[in-house]
Amino acid sequence: MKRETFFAVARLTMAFSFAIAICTTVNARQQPAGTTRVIVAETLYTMDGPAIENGMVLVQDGKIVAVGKDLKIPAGATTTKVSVLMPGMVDAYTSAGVTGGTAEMTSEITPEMDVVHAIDWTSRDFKRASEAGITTVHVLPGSDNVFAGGSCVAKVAGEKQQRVLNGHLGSVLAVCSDPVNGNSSRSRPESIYVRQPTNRMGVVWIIRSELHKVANEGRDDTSASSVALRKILGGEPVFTVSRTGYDIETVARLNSELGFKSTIVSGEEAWKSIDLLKETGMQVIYAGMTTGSETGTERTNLHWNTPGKLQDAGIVFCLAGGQLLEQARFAVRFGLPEETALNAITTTPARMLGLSDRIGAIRAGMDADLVALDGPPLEFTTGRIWTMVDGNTLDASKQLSSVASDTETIQ
Amino acid sequence: MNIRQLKFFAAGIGVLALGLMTASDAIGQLAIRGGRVITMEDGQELSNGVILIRDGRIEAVGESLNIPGEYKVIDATGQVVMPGFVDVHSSGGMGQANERNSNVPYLTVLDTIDPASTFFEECRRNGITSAAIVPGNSTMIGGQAAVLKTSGTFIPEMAQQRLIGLKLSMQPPSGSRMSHIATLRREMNKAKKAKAGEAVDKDEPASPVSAAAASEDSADETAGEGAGEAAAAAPSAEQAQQGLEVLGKLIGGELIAYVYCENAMDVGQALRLIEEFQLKPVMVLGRNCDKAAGILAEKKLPVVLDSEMVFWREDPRTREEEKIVTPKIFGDAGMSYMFQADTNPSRATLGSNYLWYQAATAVKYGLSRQDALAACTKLPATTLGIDKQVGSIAVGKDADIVILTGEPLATQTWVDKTIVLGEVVYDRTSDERLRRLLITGEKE
Repeated sequence: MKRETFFAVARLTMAFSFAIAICTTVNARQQPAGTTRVIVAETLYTMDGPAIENGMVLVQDGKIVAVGKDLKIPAGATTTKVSVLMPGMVDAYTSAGVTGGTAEMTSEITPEMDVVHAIDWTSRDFKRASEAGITTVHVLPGSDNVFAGGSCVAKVAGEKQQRVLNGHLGSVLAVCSDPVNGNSSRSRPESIYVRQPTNRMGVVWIIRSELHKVANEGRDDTSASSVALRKILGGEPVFTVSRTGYDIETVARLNSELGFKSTIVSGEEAWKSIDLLKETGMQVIYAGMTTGSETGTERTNLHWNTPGKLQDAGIVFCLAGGQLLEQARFAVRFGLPEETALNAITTTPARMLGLSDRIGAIRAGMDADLVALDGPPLEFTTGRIWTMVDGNTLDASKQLSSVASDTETIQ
Repeated sequence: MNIRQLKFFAAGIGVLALGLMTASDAIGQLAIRGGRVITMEDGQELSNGVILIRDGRIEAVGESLNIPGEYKVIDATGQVVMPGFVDVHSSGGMGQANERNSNVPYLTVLDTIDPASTFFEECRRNGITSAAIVPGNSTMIGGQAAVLKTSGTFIPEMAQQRLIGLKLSMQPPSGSRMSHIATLRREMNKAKKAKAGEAVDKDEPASPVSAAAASEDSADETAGEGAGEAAAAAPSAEQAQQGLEVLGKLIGGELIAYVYCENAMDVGQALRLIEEFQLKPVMVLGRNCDKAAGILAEKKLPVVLDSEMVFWREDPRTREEEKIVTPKIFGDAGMSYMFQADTNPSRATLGSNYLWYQAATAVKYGLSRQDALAACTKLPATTLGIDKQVGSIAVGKDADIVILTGEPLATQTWVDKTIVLGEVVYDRTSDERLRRLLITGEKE
């Protein structure tokens, strides 16, 4: 074989296997453009009004085009019947797709870094999320840096260009002991391994001094870091990872002192700060559901009915951190009203991420992100049948195909 | 007698009276009425059932029974009454489930169970009235398993079956599987010989110690040792003799052999041992035994699934991940199976530490509700050979009953009361720990 021919063949083979790889990773049933898909649900939870019995959803080009009862089905439409249909769930606190380190360890102040660059879009995290009925994820950089970087909102499937809903939603701060972990007060100050802070006081000091610096230095400092810090002071969304009651208090103090508004992320001990959260209007992305250990990260004290207590106090919160449907079920068991529980995994996180016009509910004009179930959403015995992202049914549940209702019929 | 003394006296009388009252409850007569009774006897359900309980046993069950005046009545109107759940395999309630010595048939879980541990409290809170406590999965010939009632202060009052079986582990603690299986077979053969009255070769090592344990033990010996270490290093002649006797009872199926299989290949080995020594097994399966579903279904052996019933497995070549759902795989193979709860739950645990949740998960993946409930009641009772006492609501059986606030396995259903031998051992209205977790009281 001639050298050129060899390379040509090799290139062709590579291209071929690449194409196959793409086909297998995308793993979605692509809907040809222009065709309409009709999903008829015995019970349709639109999350935009009461549930509709025998409700219909018309999907075209990745969007929901009509929702209601007895809709006129266009000619050539594909009809799928399901027992229960609800919006794809929105997980507001994940590290989905971030492989390797989730924080830049050479500095504890990295507000200019965006996690979107660290996401492997073929990561299995996305498949796992879609298998749990989650269609949109809010990806946060790791909480090892005080100013951790920018967060990103993305769909769990699809072509990369359309997947990213917001490449930089806001800044992530860590007001917890995570930035302290592994840092030793005994390292020599001039050592290249030295990292601040080494305790909680240091965490607060870094936030305060850095933000004061950019506030006082004015516009002259055009370093990426300063520009990013000024955005925080300028009112961009801030997501602050805090778990203990006293850290939540610290966040409230920093917010009022420096004039920005944080959404609390994790909030494991939010039950301790109900009054404060109510007073300050801070919202909570809650990730403290468990039935196992009552001791959480940082030895927090986890209470089962924290969501119910947040709801009673009128605090805006969502459930986050994976297995959203299961979390909602346990939240209901522990005292949260059913409707709030369903909102807490769909519409509420969508609103908190500033995307309530696209995701979180089933309404004409919204993205066709849907989850089909075989029974009432909040029962432990109910299983998921399929997940749809932007009009494409993900076929990740081959394992359960015999359970799945393959009732697709061409009309 | 001054006022102070009088106060003490009065308090004393009060305590005494209270004591007498509870004592009379315990041995007295109890009636449960008004609830929907799921008896677990031939699918029988009573929509408005009455259960009469006397001296810890079920005296009568029916729809229109007269309740004599001396019976204390529990009104279960609007609630569901079921037989107490039976946990077929758990390593909860023990300080340490595994021994360093890999061959300890002479030890019993009864000596390490702490009746005050939260494990038993959790059992009562979740409707479990009988639990088979079995040594851990990493000891080759683990200690003796026992069945306990989940209520009591001391072991003698809790023990329902002091010796129900032994744990055999097919998983080598270290080293090769070949030598592990060979050692296991050699020990079984020794027990077989001893049972037949033949002399056991004295030159054989009395107890093989796993490589890791052996190296630790040698350090202990030089450092001087307490009684505990001595037992771990090597059993006495008497202990070895006792061990052989108990092991002998596995042969022919006098006792249950709880056989732990880490993966499908272990199941093959286990089946050979079961046939060779005529064991009566309960197959305790690790996560990766799904490939053995077919053969296990064929052999119709009782099976306990791993507490992690849904997980992701990576293909070693393609690195593609596949979602494994064991209740679905075993259900499709056409076999019945039982569950176990995760006794070592973590911060990330969401439900798998409850037996009822495991049953609900199995229903989610295709098991019928009736079979799921049977897998927590009748089936484990039959498997453990204690179905004459527990596992269903029938005349003459132990009055082990659970009263649920609603439909079993439903999200908002709680155990309202748990009754063991006619005594209410759990009442949700006085469950302070639960109240604290739910923060239903005032702000703390």
